[in-house]
Amino acid sequence: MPLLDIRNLSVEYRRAGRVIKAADEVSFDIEAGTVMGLVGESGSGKSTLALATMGLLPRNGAVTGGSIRFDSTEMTGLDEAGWRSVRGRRMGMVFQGAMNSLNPVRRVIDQVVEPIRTHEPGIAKPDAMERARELLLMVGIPPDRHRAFPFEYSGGMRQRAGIAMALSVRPALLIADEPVTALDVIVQARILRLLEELREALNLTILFITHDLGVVARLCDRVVVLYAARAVEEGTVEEIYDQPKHPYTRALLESVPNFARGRGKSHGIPGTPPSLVMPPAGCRFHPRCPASMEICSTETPVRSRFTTTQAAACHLYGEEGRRR
Amino acid sequence: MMADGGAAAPLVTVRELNVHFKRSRRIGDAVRAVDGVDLEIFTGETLCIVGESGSGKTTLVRAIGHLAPVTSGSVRFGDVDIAHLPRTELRAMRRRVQYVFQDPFESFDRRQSIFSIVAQPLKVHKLVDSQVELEARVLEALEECGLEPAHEFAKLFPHQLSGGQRQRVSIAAAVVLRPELLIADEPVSMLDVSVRSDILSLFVRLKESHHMTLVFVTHDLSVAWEIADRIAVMYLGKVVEEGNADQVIGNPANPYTHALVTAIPVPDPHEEPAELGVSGDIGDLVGIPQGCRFHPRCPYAVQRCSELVPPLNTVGHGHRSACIRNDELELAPPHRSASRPVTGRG
Repeated sequence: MPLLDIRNLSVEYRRAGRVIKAADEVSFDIEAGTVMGLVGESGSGKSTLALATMGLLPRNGAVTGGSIRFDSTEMTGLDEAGWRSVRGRRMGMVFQGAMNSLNPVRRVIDQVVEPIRTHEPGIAKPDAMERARELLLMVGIPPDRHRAFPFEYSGGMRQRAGIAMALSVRPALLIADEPVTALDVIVQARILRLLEELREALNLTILFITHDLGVVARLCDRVVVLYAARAVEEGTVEEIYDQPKHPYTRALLESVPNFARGRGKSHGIPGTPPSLVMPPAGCRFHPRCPASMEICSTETPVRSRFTTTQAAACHLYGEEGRRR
Repeated sequence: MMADGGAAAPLVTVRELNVHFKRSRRIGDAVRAVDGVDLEIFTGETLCIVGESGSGKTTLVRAIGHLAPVTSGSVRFGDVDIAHLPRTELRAMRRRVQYVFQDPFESFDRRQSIFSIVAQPLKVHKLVDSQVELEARVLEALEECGLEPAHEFAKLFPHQLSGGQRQRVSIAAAVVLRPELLIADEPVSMLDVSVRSDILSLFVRLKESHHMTLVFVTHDLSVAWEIADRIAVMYLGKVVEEGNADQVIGNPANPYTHALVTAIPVPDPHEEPAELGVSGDIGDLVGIPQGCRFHPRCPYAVQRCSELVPPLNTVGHGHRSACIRNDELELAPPHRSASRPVTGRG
């Protein structure tokens, strides 16, 4: 039984009288103790999926179809009070700009204590303090910095504090939305190492949202590749990097400089990602796809399954493709 | 290709360059953004200046084109010292050095059409005599930058373009002046990965066809490795290593560069992430450390490192590193594959 099971999830935003479908029948699930990567470029819908999973869609956004089952409970249709008992308690969150989730005028340790005391009203203050201290040490913040204010921290330390806060109530699922994107590469590597260690130590389940294929390769067990609000391929990291099936996944991997492949071997994808206001008909990648066929511009491809873990939505693996 | 080891005359020679900014409250404690930098930029090469935030890379390239105030030292462009140029001669100099910046959204006036954005530098520098010539030059620049059909793109406004297309416009507005030196400061950092590499190859192509010299500033070593002939690595205002791209990425001599390369996440799940011995980050430092600036974070630091400012010493052909332990340290190549030619995937 997966910890998080998302089925045919659709999310729409309304803006200036227009409807923007930011997630279009997306499905994936995460087993407890694994790390799932959601990969995509801007406008792919990866952050929308994260927000929907946390019940944090903005006012103009709504789930318009499908289901989100978390720990066997249906989450769509939950009211704000219901979400509040899950969010920050059973789900922890880490965002790109840690400064935005930290209160600038409160000491860091107090901010780690607060969620513990909110969600576990019975806990004695010294016990909550003790757990907060342990957590801060665990994420690599030395004791003499625990009582500092966020502005006294560097970017990397703030992100560590943000992770400690998210983990303070021992959540079943950690949702991390581009948590290392704004950091310098050495700091980034150390935060990734920290997440790896925490994962081992706490048997964490992580939904990791990123545009960075290097980060995914390092941290994730499985990957969902998103393009223009749809899941185009999913698989284990090995399957996705070694045997990508969807032309978009292939092209994306080829567009990243890769030390293993040699210099000057990366090349981009022609054109630009489509607008979600007027997405192309059929397969949304077809205007940029090197393998595009006639059917691609008219019919939405269905998922073809290759292994128990790998599937891709592409006509190449449908009847038309086989005939070719 | 590059001028290997200084065979050709440098286009730009930077000597003992200091750019210090005064801070308002702590008097006498200036921010030494660029601190005693010596650097050559060779005609026709692509030089990447790499560093983390706060390394001084942007200030350095801004000083080269007279966009940042030089505290002391010289920037020689051929025979001219740009740092001490009279105002009257500055304009001509500016035409020879052009910039492309990170944010294609910020660099334009939203009410200007693409045509007038690219036409403006030609008018400012009075480089065309007629409207016909102006149009021809603008359309040619747009075409060269992959904005085709050019006459259609010329009519559009910035908000009608994607990020990648906007960056192509800013490149067109720079190359339309036919500069000798093109300085690009993080021009692909805000772009999606799928459009990034085409913009990188556009830079390389234009550099070749216009016989330009390209200085490319980036925090991303994998981008530098993709396009650079030579790489200079900066840390807290100083160049700590320079050499050709294969040397610097494949076999870095300086422990800081080594850490920087090791830290890059490789898009390959089979590559075992290397252990990073470095502690802290730049932002944790209060003031600039004595001796080698990297020593408080360096896993190889010894007592002497806190006493001696390491000079940039030659460690190989055209390869220099500022570390007093260069002779004794044997740093393993950070990525198995970057240091040798590869046939298949790692």
